[in-house]
Amino acid sequence: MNLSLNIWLTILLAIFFSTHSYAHHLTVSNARIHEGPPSQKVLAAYLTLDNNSDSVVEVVTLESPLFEHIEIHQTIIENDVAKMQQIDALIIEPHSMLELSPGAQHLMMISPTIRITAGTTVPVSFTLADGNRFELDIPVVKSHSDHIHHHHH
Amino acid sequence: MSANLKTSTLFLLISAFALGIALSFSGNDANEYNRPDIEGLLWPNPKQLRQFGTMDHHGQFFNLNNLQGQWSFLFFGYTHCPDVCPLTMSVMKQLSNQLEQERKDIDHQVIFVTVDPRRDNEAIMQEYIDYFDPDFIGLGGTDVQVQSLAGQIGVAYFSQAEDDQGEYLVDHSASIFMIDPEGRLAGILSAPHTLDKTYRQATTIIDFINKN
Repeated sequence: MNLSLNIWLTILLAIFFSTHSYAHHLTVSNARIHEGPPSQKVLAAYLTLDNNSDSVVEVVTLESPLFEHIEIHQTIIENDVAKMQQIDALIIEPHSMLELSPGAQHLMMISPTIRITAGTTVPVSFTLADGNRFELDIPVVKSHSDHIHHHHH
Repeated sequence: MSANLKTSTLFLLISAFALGIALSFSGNDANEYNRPDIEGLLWPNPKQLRQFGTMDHHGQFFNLNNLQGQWSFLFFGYTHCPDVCPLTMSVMKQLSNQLEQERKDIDHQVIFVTVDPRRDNEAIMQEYIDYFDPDFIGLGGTDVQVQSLAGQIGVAYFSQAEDDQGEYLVDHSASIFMIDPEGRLAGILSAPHTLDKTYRQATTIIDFINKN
């Protein structure tokens, strides 16, 4: 009983924390979409992109068969007012990391075509500036399992 | 004039200057006493809210009387907001749970006020509130009704331009506002909110107000 539970937990953790490597030595980790109330038309997704190559990598288009479209946004809190600004591309400098996290940069997953619930995954396709593409299944989680990002400049 | 007299005049002048500095410092101390070093506390003279009129997520009138007799935590956001609002709702839920467990003496309510009443109708608000915590209260109504509450708390919000699909973003305050049981704006908890920081700040403010 305990053994099977442990195995399941290991598999779940492996799915949740799995790391994916793609062309250009780009690694994606800690990707997750926050579940929302049933009628929520916009969900946020977060992930970390690690560029191990000598050149800049740009993610220019994001698409999912389960959402009408996906935009890249940056939350800015200035004088206690939260604003969101759209960004054209995710730019990952050579040998550096870009972290999308709550209260900072995030993906806006707009108009889901089905109810998106925690425990499922959403296929997302990433297109790079050089035309390369890769697919990623992003797990959906409850938002309270995440925490607010602290900026350290 | 002897050298001694000159010296004693200089000494007098220095003493007077020193006394002036000492007095001005003691004056500051008196101000410090009135304004304790508690982050987010609005003191002295927390603003007494005037009457306002909004609608809750069950379609019932909600006004100043509904804020009296207990502490209220208010957050102003909108249901189409994917990042800051759900995170703040999650923190408020955890804050409320922790208060219920550790500070049963603090009677409180958690209120989400929409700054987008045009899209956030009663049905959407009901679903949004139920998703996060059915004990929370969702407030909306007409623009004028929302403004009757937001305006006097000093909450700023602006709708951005609509896109091709008629959707739009709303810039809004990221703070949690604390109203005391007398209906006074007693504290502002600034973003980013983490459970530990928010709980510590809120209980410190409540304990201070209760003692004063």
